[in-house]
This record gives sequence, C-alpha cells and structure tokens, in this order.
Amino acid sequence: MRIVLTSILFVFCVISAIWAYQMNYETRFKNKQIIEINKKIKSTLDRIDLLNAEWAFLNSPERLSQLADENFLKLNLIPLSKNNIKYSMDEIDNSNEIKNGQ
Amino acid sequence: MVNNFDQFDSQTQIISQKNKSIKNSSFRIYILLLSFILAFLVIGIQMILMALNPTIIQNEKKVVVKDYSKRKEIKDRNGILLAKNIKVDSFYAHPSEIVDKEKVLNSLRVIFSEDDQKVFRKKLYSEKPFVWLKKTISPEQKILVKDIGQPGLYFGPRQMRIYPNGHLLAHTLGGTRYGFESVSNAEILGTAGVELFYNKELSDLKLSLKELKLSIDIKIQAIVEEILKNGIKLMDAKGGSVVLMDSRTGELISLASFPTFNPNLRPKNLFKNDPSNSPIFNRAVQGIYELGSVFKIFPVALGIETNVINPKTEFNTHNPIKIGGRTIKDYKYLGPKLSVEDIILKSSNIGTVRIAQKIGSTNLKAFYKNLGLFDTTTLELPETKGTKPQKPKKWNNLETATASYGHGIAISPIHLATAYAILVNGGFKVNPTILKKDNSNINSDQIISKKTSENIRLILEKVVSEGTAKETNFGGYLVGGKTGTAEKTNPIQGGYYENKVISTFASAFPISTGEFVLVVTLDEPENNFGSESYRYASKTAVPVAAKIISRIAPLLNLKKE
Repeated sequence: MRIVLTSILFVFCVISAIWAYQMNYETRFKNKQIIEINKKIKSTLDRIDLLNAEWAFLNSPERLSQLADENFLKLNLIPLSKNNIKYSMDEIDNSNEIKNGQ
Repeated sequence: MVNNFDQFDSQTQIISQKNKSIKNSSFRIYILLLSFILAFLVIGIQMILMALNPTIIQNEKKVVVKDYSKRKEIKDRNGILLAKNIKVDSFYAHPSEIVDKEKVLNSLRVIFSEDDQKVFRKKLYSEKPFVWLKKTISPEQKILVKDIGQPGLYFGPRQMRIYPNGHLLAHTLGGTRYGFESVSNAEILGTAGVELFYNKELSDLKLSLKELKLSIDIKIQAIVEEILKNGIKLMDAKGGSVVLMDSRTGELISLASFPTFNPNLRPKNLFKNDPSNSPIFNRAVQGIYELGSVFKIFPVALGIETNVINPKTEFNTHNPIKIGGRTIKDYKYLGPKLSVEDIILKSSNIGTVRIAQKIGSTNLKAFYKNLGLFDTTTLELPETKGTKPQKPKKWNNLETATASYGHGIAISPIHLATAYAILVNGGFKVNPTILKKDNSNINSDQIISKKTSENIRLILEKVVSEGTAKETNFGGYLVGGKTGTAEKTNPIQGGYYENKVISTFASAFPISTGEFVLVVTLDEPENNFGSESYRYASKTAVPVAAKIISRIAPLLNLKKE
C-alpha cells in the first residue's frame, strides 16, 4: 500500500517537474517573441507616422496648387469660376443637356 | 540476581527509550513530509491556476518611463494634418573613443553643411566625455555617418515635431522646442500658438483628448495667405492680416498674418525694440490698431436698437463740429444733410458724431463693452493674453465723439471681426474660438435684436453696392461691409502720421444671412496703379477682400446670388 502511494507521488512529482520545466522555457520563448513583435509594431507605427507625414506634405495645398499651375495647359484646365459650381445633380444634368443641345 | 535483574531492568529501560525516540523521530519525519507535500501542493495549485488564468500574473510592477514620443496631432476642421511627431535620430559622440578625429571630421564635412564644421571640430576636441553633435538627423545622414566606420559615434532615437504645410497657419500653430533631453528621449514643448496654449493637453497621454481639431480650414487658409501675400506686395504694404469667422459659432475658418515664417524652423525674435516688425508677430491677434471708420456702424446699430434713430433719420452735416478744442470734419464736404444710411455710405465723421451725441456717452460705452471691444478676447492662443485693447481713460464728450468713428480706441482685428459677427448674425453674442465647435453650443445672449441686425446688413450691403466699396467686383457674391482708413499713431512724437495708414475692410457674406465675417487689414498700403496713389481702404483693403471672397465662397458652399 505504502509503495503504491509513494510511487504515485513520485510519478506525479516527475510529471510536474517536467511540466514546470517546459512551461518555464516556453514562457521565456513567448516573452522573447512578444518583445520582438512589440518592436515590430513600434517600428511599423513609426513608419506609418512617417508615411502619414509624407502624405500630408505631398498633399499640402500649396504644393497641389503649384502642381496645378505647372500642368495647367497639359491637363486642359480652366480657371475656377462660379459658373463651374453646381449644387445638385439636377443642375449638372441640365447643364449637360444644354451642352448636348448645342 | 539482583544485578541480573538490574541489568534486565536497565535493558528494558533502554529499549523503551529507543522505542520512544523512534516514535518521536518518525513523527517528525511525517510532519516534515506533510509540510513538503503541502508546500508542493500550494505551488502546484498556484501554477495550475496561473496556467489556466493568465491575468493573475499581472501583479508585476511596471517601470514607468515618461514617453515623449506621443505628442498628439493637430488637425484642421476636415481632419487634414497640421502638426505631427515623426521619429528621427539624434547624433552624439564620446570623443575619447574616437581613434582618428581628423578622418571623422573630413567625412562629416561631406555629410553636413560647412557651417556645422567648426562646431564639430570644437566639440570633438573638447575634454568632455559626451557631446551632442546634431539634435536631429535624417535617415539618409544616419546611414552615411554609419559608413564612416569609426568608433565613438552614436545615435539616439528622437521625436521631431513637423508641420507638413510649411508656413501655412504659422502664427496659430506656433512651434515647439526641446525641453528635457536624454540619449534615449527628449521632451517637446510648445513655444507659441496652440502648441503652447494646449501644451499640457497635447503631451499628457492620460487626458482623453485624442487629437486637437482646429476650426481652421487649411485649404481656405492657403488661398487666403496667398492672396494676402500678393495683395501686400501689390499695395507695397508693410504687412497685413485676415480674419475669417463663422459669425454664428465664432469659429475662425482662417486666420492669417503677413509677414510669416516657417514653424519647422521658428526664428528667434530679433526685433526686440519693435516686436510688430518681426515675422512671428501675429498681427490679427496681437496687433492693436485704431481702425477708424469701420466703427461707424456701431453707434448706428445702437441707435436703431434703442429706437433713437432709424436708417432714414437725417442729420446736419453742413458744419464741422468743435468739441473740447478739436474740430471734427469730413474728408470732403458731403452735403448739408445726410440720412443715417448715407452717413455710413459716405463715411461721414460729422454725421456719426451727431448720432453718438444723440445716443449719449454712457450708452455708447456700455454697448462697446457688450461688443467685447474693451476686454481681451477668449481666443485660445497665448498671444491674446497680453493684448488688451486701448481705450480712453476718461470718457468725456470728446472721447465719445472720436470713439464713434474709431479713434482713441485701439483693438485687434479679432475684436473687430467678433463685433461685426454679433451685428450681422442676428444679434447673438459670440466668442472667437480656434477649436472646432458643435453647432449645438451656440451662445444665445442677445446683444441687439434680429430686426436691428437685419437693418445693419441692409446698410452694409448698400455700402458695397452704392457706397465706398462700389467699384469692386466680388465675383458675383453679395457682400456687405464697411471700409476704414485710419492714420497710424506716431509712437515717438505722439499724434498721427500724415501718410501712414491702417486700411481695413470689415465685411459679411453672403449678406442676406451674414454667415461669414471677413476682416482684411493692411498696414501702410499704397495703391499706385492709377495716375495718383491711393491709401483709402476702398482702393487697398477692399480689392484684397474681394479677391478672397470670390475665391473662397465656392469652397464654403455658397451659392451665387
């Protein structure tokens, strides 16, 4: 009886030791992974920040208007006037009809 | 026998003692075993629990490092980026570790500008164990420096505040500088504008504010700044400012001051004796000027509101008025009698003074106070705090008279825009703001009635269609406004300059609703296009305002009328 109990406890002890050992190393490994992923996230966020800033710079109103001025003829642009602005789809359709009529 | 017996007795005694000690020690062993088992069980259960429920683990202390990298973004009313942090590198050295200093210096000469060279030389040959070489360097420069391949050169992560739109909205945004600095981090502090006013909100990550959303529309701001700059060049002016305000909410859609600067490289204030000449001086907010005739609409508004006058009431404008040893006259003879409407249309000083006299000085003073002309504004910029309007200390007949046509009182263009917003928006009190507001928070204090406001809009419309601003084309939009040309005060000799003026056009559009208020102010303009040169606002500030309105009205979704 006693031998059975002792051997059960012994086996339990060995199993839990192996489990704890494995868990320990798995945790360290996971920790390393987390640190690496966090680093990646941070550098990706930094990159997103940089790209956002670059996007904002490329879209700055002054740059766009300068580009529009440079390519004014190439793009067949016309100066904006109040007649170019329509406030509803009806107005747009009407103006198209007039054009087509002509 | 006795001996034997004794021996036996002593033997049994020993055996019983042995038995006793065996019993004792086995008891101790059992206790020990039990406590070991208990300890293992406690640890094992704890481990099993932890494995099943990982949240228990998070009792570890976290080391708090102040993170300066997350300074919040500033955006315009449509969410377009105005200010942002990006990651760059700082460049430092441990001079004692560098083997070949001359080689390093020669390599750095190629990478950085010639100006840095002297500084580098001095720093690398200094006795200090640690020197900053460059506070911020670009990724390309970093690669080049790494390629030198010498020990002792190091990089640290650094956050940099950038303004992608360059000089646009420079005065409002202000700028930043580095505060506390270490190898791994640096604190960014606002130096002016909203960066300073909201420094705590922008840098404190505990506060719920995600980003700072301004009321400014950067697209409109770009157009306004471009036209203002060109206008100032054409009119040969020293500077100028534009305020565009939503008259109902007090939101500033555009706020421009010229000359301007680039907040990415904010200049130091080099003009110590006259700060108003510096590009960092915000004329729209800090500039206190006597603005002249644009004030004339105020006594008229009060007169109509209190039923003392109506737009058709006539006043004698035949003779100049003498008050307190001063003669008040018009710029030319305007006729024997003028109606209230015509007094504004032709900008008669005499007529305005007569209206003010009829209203009385106490009422006029109280009305100016209600319009906010005596106090600093609530605009969320640090520059407003030091900017208190100048008003006469005593308020006698002469002061009342001059105040009625805008002399003796000096206010900023923001004050003027706010007062005009109140007059045209239906009479509601507004406070100028640089932050985007929900329309629900409209202040409902009534300063003048809706009816008076409507009358004022009609008079202002007539000024543009028939009066001092009639020659200007506003691109088909109906505009109302009042011009003002005021001689500049001479701070050295006292009195006024004869040929230096501040010319102002305060306007509202579309005038049928008075939704937007635009104030254009030019400092010392001169229009030399015709045969003679003009300084009057109608030839200087009005054309600039007209150009602005015709360009931005489509962007504000306004229909032509």
